[in-house]
Amino acid sequence: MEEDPFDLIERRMARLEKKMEEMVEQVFQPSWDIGAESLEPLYDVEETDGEILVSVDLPRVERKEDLEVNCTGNLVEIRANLCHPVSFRRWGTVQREADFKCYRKLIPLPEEVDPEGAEAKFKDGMLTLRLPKKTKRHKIKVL
Amino acid sequence: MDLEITETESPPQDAKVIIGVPDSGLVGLISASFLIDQLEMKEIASFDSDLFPPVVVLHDGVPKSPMRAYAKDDLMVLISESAIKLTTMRKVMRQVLSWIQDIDGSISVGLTGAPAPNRMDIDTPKVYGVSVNMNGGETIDDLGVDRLQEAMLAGPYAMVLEYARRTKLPNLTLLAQSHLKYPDPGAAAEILKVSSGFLGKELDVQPLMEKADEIRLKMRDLMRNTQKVMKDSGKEREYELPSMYV
Repeated sequence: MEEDPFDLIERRMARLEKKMEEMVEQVFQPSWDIGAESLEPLYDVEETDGEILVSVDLPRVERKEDLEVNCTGNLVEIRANLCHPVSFRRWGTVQREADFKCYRKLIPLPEEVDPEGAEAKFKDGMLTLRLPKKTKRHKIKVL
Repeated sequence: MDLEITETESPPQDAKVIIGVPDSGLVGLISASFLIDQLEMKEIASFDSDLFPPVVVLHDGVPKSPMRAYAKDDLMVLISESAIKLTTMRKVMRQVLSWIQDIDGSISVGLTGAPAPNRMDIDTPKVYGVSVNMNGGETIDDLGVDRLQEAMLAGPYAMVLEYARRTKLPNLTLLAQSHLKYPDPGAAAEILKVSSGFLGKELDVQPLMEKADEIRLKMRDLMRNTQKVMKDSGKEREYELPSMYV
């Protein structure tokens, strides 16, 4: 059945709005939370035809046992403990000493994925995830 | 709209001028900052302009311009602790290079990353070189690095090459395979190893590698800001295949 073009536009508009909200949040939100002693890692989300690839930079995380990755349909949650806490002293406008012990990040995905088929790799503090998209692809025979 | 340069000391004559500004993997800035620290270089100039965002950085309680020049002997290092916005990038880099010509710098040296999609699987990043106005580019061969043959470059170092191409300013640009969007001290270390002979300085990159995780951690915010500029400047085009040969 052919998709209603208005549904398509609406979906794209919603995605664009979400992206705008994320951008505004990224600009104004600090990359740390003193109360939770957590830092926000750098991450990247890329999309191919059948997969969503997520990479997360997690320096000072040495063992995969210190890493927890949870995935729902369109969200990946990263929790990781640093091997040694990082201390910032009299920094920024905070001007106080603060120790950070972990990373926390909820990463929104552009499309729903199948967590069952997900693959994760961790090397030198870099986590990469391959998440198959839920939308099934059908091969079309070319005559 | 011009760059206002305040020299607190006279720049050295015939200096080799290293340029370390935020770009792929912050490789240039990490390398340049390491040189300043290890060689105990002295701040000699600061750059201010309406072209910059209204930002000042504090180090040991002293306000400084994010863009500054340091010197020791015949070596100068120019750094920017703030990403250079796309709208002003061409103008800023042109004026910086024009100043290098004005002070009779012998050569401008760009240090940066060459984004490698498989960087995670590369233990020792390879270093490539590009040279302009360097008597046939002998230096690249002397350094023992491969010449970057076919590529598309974008960002501040592309502007450096563009300026050098149009003028007589000699330029050597070294690019190490690096992460595009994450700070990459490993790539910086490889570039520094290669540069050591050319700069005539003994460089021990061990301290840099020991601090690699700390650098990655503490440069997250600058990398995040640089990512936005790189996206606007078409940095992803560096992954493109060359289109000349068909």
